[in-house]
Amino acid sequence: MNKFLMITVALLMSHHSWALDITDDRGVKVQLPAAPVKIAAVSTFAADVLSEFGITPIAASTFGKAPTPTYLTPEIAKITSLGLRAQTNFEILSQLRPDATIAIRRYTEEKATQFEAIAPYFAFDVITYEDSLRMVSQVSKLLFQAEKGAKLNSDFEQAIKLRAEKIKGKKLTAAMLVSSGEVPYVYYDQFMPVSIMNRLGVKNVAGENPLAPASLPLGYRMPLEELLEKDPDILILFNSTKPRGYVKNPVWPHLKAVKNNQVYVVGQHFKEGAGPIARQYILEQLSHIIDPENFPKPYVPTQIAVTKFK
Amino acid sequence: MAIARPAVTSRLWINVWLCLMLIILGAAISLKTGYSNISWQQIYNAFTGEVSVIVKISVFELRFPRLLLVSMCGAMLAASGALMQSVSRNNLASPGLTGVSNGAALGIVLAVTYQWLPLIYIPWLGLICGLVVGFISLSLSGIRDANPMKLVLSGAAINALCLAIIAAVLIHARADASELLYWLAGGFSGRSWSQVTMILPWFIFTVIAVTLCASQTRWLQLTDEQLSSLGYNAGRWRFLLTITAIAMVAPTVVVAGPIGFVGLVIPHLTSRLVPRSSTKWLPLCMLLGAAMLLWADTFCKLLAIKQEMPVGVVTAVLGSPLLIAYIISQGKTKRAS
Repeated sequence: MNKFLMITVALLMSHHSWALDITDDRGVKVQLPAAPVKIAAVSTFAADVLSEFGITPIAASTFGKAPTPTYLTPEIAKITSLGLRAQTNFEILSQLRPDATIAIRRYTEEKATQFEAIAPYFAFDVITYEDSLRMVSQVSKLLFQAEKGAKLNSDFEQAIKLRAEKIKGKKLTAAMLVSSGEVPYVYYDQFMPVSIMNRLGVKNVAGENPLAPASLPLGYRMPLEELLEKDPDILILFNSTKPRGYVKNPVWPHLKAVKNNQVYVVGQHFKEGAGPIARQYILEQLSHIIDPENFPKPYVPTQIAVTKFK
Repeated sequence: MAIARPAVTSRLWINVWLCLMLIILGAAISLKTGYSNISWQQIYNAFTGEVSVIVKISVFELRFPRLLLVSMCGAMLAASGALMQSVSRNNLASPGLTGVSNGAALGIVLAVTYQWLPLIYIPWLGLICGLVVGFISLSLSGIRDANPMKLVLSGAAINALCLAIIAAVLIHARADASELLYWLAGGFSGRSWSQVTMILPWFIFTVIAVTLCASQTRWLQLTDEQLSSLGYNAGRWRFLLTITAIAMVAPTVVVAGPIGFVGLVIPHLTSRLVPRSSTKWLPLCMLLGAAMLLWADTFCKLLAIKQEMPVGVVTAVLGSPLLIAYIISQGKTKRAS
């Protein structure tokens, strides 16, 4: 009888330890029957967080022009590409038979049924600083490593505080620009890399999203006249495959940042910096841009290195 | 067969002055409107004396070249639409009819997406593509006898083809698609002297062409048989004027993206002021086109909450009710007759 009881308890315990309910950012409770081994990463943040936990995803979305985000680990270069994050190749995904799919909510939620038909599907928002913390926490839970996730988050927050203390008193302003058109698109405070910059004590001239707490839109097209009047100390340009039209405008040479040689081009990881590896690189790179005396140039893989804009 | 030349009445001159006043007022408000709060005095000083660098750059490098560019584009689009309506004897014809706008847009979208050319050559590619696509439309409709109905049909087919290719390229453009979509909505934000310099020779060409064509378009209101009986080679005239109209519209697409409705609506509005057979109709179209686009662009700046609306949206909002009113009035006229 005792033996039977012990087996029952052991079975119950084993079930308890493996079956797990995680609520993703859709508010959907997703059940995992067992710890996932083969995980598909739809969007770079998912590949990023998995890499941080020592797991190589079985497939990942494209990263800029590259098939996969190879700056994370060398192994990722060998995995299958799922194509664009907004146009996941379901044929490839179903052939790979993942145990779970971790995906960006904004570009995948409308195809949730197709994702769910293949494997348990977890959708996360990855726009804001808070999104990043919550996502890392939730993904660490589904990997059965909740403690490590909590530590990653607290270490990151602590690192920002320490750096902000060192930078204190600089009173700089900046803008993060993306676009190759005649008018630059400028990110609001809510966007993850801008949030990090704000926390380091640098004011974003684009300010807060007027629709806050909504995180979308990410920014707006700032007229050059507004850019000239706000005249930030630092300009951070997101990488672009096309020549930027607005830098040809006669206004450009009159900007303070241009005159002081404070215009930087950052890597593709700034566009999706919610993962623990990317956000750490962003923090180190921004610290160096803001205060090069206190923060030496960080070591980062070449493909995401910061360069001065000429 | 003689065509009575309408007398130049005092009403016409009142209309001309009204158009000029609209342009001057629009230009003044356009100069005053922008992100920075610049006073009338500062604007005056920017032209005559000393002002701060921000005011000087805002007025001279952004607002002033923009208003010149908008006025030139408005005039060119309207003149092009007026010529196309005359040539095709179709009052619903517009620069989009021959596929020129979408042809030029296609060239630019392709060049930007696949980076075939250095940035400075892209406008010229747009121009060439616009001209080539317009020429194809014209060829399909019959180069010499340029049948109006054939022109409309070939234009529709070519437009559909251009739009389909643009859609395919946008899908392929991935992250750059939003950038291109913004450009395709048409607008003048961020434009400066380089675009003014680019379009100026084409504007001068338009002014010369309108001066030369003003007395010829009224003949095109007649049928080809009537023209032949008068000794005119109708096909040759239609061909030349269509090519001229194409050359007027393609450069505007290059500098501002495709802007609809100006070329369609302005000839109708103008015909309410002076008859289409009048030699003053084409020049007045240019003035009214400049005024309409100037006001539409000023609205874009005035209505901007965070960012400016593309001017193509405003011209569509302003132009659609006018077009609907025209269609309804035409229906009533037909029923009455």
